[in-house]
Amino acid sequence: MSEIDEITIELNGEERTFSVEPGVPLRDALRDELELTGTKEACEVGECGSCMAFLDGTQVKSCLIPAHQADGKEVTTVEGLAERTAEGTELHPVQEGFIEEFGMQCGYCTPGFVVSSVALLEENPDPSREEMKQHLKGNLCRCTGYTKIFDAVEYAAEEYDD
Amino acid sequence: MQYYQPSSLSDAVERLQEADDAKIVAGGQSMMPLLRQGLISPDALVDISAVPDLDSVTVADGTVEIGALVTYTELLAADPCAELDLLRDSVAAIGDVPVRNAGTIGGGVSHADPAQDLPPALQCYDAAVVSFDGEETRRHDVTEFFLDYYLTELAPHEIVTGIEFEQPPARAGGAYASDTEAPGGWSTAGVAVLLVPDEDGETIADARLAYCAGAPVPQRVPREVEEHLIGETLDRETVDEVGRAVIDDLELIDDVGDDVEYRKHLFRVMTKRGITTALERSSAPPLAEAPQ
Repeated sequence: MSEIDEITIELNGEERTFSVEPGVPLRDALRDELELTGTKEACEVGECGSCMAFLDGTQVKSCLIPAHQADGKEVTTVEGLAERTAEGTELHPVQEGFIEEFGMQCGYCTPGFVVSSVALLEENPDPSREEMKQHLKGNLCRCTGYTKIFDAVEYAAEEYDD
Repeated sequence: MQYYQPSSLSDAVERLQEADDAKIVAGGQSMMPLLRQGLISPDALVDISAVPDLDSVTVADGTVEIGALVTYTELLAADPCAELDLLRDSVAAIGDVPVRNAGTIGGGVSHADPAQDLPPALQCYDAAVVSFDGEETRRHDVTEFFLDYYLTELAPHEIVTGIEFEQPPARAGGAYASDTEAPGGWSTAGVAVLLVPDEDGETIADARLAYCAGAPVPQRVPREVEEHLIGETLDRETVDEVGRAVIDDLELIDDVGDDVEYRKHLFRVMTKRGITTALERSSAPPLAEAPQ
């Protein structure tokens, strides 16, 4: 049996330790304690998907995961998707896709969509539009329709092929 | 609030007994919204995600056993979902990919939201909810397990350890038909159907129907309604009669933004869709246009 006081996670490849009150969601720990604000907050109850992150490689809504449950696990946020080298930063193909196809309007939902789209393409590198809709239904965009978002995923899927 | 992550079932029960108002957390998909909205304020969270031996799906001698910590995504990828259409339909209807990635079957049945997609299927399979209260392992009939909105037969310190049911024969066909207001949202009408033809595959020997989102608890359709489908080669008229009979069993609440007549219509359509799809997937003859 254990009571957890200090939580240690591997965040985007780097070991980080923090403490939060029990019941605080992983999302708040990421934003407030670890100062990575790419993971957004909006609905609080798992409806909007703007807080999407990877926990041990699995796509989750970080507002619905107790931060304590991430102890000892790997967390990847939208900030961890691009490759950073001495020569500069190389965006993830999905990030490229959202830029090239203008898959956003206000941009608030975009990090969540990017994470979900990466999860989709990791599992299925050549999804149909229907498969995209099914996979991305945990993400909401309130500005506009989803067509440009699906275009962005399609662009990224082509990049994956190369 | 205290946070415990016990490493055994008995430790977990002990923690639950010690605290005044402890809550169990597993995948967090039901507990976190309740916490975040201030609907509950427990003095301790008992995180059972590290308790061993609750995370496997096994099929032995025709009995399916699903550990309480099995996530919906894991269940979808497991053998029983490949074979059992009704189970697969129901799990696939739950929320969305990230919710299914974290949500667990034990958490779902314990939370007892009346709109959950999976319980009607479990009721059609005559499943048992297996639990441990620190002293004994109990098996609850899933048709009697749910008592009211968010209320089950579980004692406050009792933990669901898994779900068990007998696999129906291969000639059976099952389906879950549901409707949601928004993609990924709660079902506004969900009907599970399991049809078991006789051994010659000619008539329906057993029919089980259950629904969610139509009453304070998920429930089996009254036996006399199910019996309409038994002993017959199904025809469109009979299916329609059953669709209308299911409506009489509903306990819908007239609520703001919720039209009871429309909900009834949805239940009728979902019942018919569930029955016709289950029939197509069974070894029974296809739906007849008129009574035979």
